[in-house]
Amino acid sequence: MDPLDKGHFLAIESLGFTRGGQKILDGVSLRLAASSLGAIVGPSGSGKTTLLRLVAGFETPDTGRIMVGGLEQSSSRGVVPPEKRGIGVVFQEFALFPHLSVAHNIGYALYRKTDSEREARVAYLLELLGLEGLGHRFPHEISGGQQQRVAIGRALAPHPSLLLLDEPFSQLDPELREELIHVLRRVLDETRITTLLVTHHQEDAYDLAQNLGVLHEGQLLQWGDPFELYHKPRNRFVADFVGKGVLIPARVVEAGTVQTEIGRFGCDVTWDVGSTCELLVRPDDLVHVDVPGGLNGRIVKKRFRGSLHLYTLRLESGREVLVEVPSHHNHRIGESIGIEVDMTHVNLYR
Amino acid sequence: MSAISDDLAQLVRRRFFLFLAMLPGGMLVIPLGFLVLKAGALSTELLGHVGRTLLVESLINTFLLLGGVLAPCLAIGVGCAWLLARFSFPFSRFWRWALLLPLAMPAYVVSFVWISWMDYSGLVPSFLRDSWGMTTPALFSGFRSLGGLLVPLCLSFFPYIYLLVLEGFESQSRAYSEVASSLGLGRGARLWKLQLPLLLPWLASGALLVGMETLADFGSVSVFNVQVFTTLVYRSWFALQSIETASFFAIVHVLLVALFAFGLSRLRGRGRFSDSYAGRNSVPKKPLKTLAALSANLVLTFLWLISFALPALQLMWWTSTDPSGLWDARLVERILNSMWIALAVALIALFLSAMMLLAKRFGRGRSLAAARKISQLGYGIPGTVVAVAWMASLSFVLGSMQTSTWIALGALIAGLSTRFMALALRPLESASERISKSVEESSLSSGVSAGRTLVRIHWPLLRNAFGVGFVFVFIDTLKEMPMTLLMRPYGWDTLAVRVHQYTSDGLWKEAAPASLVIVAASVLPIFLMRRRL
Repeated sequence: MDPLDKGHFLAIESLGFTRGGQKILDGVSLRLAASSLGAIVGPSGSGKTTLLRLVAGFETPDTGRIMVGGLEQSSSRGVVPPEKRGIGVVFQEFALFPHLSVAHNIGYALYRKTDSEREARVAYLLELLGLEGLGHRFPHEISGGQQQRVAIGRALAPHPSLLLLDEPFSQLDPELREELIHVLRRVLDETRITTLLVTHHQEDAYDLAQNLGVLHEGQLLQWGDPFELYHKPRNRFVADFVGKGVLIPARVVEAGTVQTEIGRFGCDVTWDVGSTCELLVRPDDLVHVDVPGGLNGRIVKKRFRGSLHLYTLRLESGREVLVEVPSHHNHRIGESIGIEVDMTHVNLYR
Repeated sequence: MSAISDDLAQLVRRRFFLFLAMLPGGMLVIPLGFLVLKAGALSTELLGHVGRTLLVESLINTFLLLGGVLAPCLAIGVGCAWLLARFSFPFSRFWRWALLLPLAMPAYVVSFVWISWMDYSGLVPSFLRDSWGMTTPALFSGFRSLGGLLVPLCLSFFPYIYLLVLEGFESQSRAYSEVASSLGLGRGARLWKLQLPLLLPWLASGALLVGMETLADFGSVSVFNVQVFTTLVYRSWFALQSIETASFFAIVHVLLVALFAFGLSRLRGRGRFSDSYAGRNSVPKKPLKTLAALSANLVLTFLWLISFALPALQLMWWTSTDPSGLWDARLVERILNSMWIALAVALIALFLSAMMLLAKRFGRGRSLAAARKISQLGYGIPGTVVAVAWMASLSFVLGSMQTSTWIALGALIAGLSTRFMALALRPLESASERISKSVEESSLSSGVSAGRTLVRIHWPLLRNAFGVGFVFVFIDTLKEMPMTLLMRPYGWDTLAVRVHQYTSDGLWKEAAPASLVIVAASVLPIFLMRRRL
């Protein structure tokens, strides 16, 4: 763990923060490579926003430290004030200055620059963010999605080294979320800026993030690439929170093998033979087959997802599992359908 | 057939509400019309050379006064608001409301107390002469002048700016400051480039209030012997006995006020923006360290002493050295006169405001909005002008200036009600905004009658606003001086009138008991509302 490791632009080490006697963050550590995007997901009240506020320098940590570009920014000994950090922040509610036009909002931090420098930078950002022609409007005259892009532009204007986004998806409807992902990807490609965002819309985070973390009750339960979090969740909470799936009972029948009602699986746990645990079954671990005779499940719930149906099946034991089936396999609730197990990642929890 | 009668009913209803809405505005505009008629009758010879000289002198004095009051008031008001909005220190919760107490002191009371201290024979120069053997510095011999007048006026009016700017500061979201600091702005840059620009609408409203009060002031300028339009109108009426001259000066005065208000409202309009983010998560207060906290308390204590506590103590001292003034039967009579007139004005103002509210609820259209705006103008028009306008109308209608006691009192009450109605309407309007149309409709659609809806929904939600409006109008009527002075029937005195009569003779001590009653009555609402601050 070398803090001067150039590969890691942002390094947070055992960060702890208490407010009013309550632990908000507890031993949070993470690393984010330069020019990459990290996302932290977690339920509300998990400490996500507080983590961002600490990185931005609005709060002082009780323990641990925050390094940006190899320099210490925050520790319990003191903090570099926010205005000296060069970290751009986009708030959940955008906090656009209501008395300034779009162009003046974006150019707000550039008051020491010459007029022509400022105008050029503002014009560039307006174009980058697809806001051409809106420079003279006021915040209340533009849509929510546009307001958010103005807030991003304002944060990017002074060339920050790090961009923080607090719940960027929460104020947007699904269509605008798609659009924001598109805009963010363009911004990241153009500016190569290191970005950290927090959200509870995990699906949107998968799409963008090179690193994903799950925060729960102030602890960062896992930090890694999204594929790993989905397929190798480190504990029950991460398994449950990231993606869909159910846990079904399993028993170790011999070293390296567990038995469940949907079959027998090889694993690398060293638990005693006979001990019980639970197996994570994702919807994509099950495949619908029309050949009868194997496993069967009765459809109790059905959700149409366009190209896919997400069926909730009740097994013979009464336990329910989820399975994703191509949309043209259109079955009715109450029907029994055959399934096969195709499990690459065996995740067991005690 | 029934469709026609429905239409007719609707038309009648709409006309009726329009009439209700136009009533208070009409009571204001019609007398002003007569004022113009009267002033038109003034020939240039009648105005004369003296009149023109006085006009120029009053204009100069008015501009000097406006500038001299506004600049220090803004500095003091913004300073106090910033201190109390951004920092926490011992006693800061007390100062939040204690700084409003000077509002309970009518400017004319603060003025005569300050003269009694600072004038040539006053407390301070006498003390300097007697104990230090000093000759009286020029500062004191010239205290009774425009320069000296600025002191009590600033001390009386700064709380308006303090109150509005405090609200402005505290409605600024923490997020704005945080964004600005993450963009690289330090504390000073944030104040200049973010917080003050965001405050512009509040600053303009505060300056508007203080400017209006300064322009309308009559009591203080007359104690200080400074010639401005209010005193000019008063003198033309009492010394020249010329309603035409008084009307002419009144019109010049009201035009000046309109010009000032228009200028500031443009400034406020430019800064007006919809701030949907306001009021959420205001900026946390930074605790002050011992030395800074001590200095803050010292500064605020000094300000509070000279603007409120010491003048109040002085009044108490004067009253206690001659307590017979308190038991005087005439004082009791004046208190009763003041109280019942304030009661009548407050009730009528509330009634007119309630009518306006009803009209707004059930009526539509531009003329209604215009009627509402006109009714609000009363507060901006100086009392002397409203008084002269009513007298001009009476003389026009009755053909003579001699009116019965009851007509004079009726006109006084009508004039005061239209002038102070805005004070009652404002809290009522903001309270009624909380009763959405859908609240009303859910009550009605659940089968509850309109009358019961009024009792169960509207009254409980509006009750407090009625109370606040009543108190505001009551206190302002109690303090009001120039209108009462000009319009009262001969020999019919109120507390404020008596204060004026004593102070124009330099009888400070004699003016103390009546002043004390006014101050005590005005302190009460501020004390009761302290928790809201």
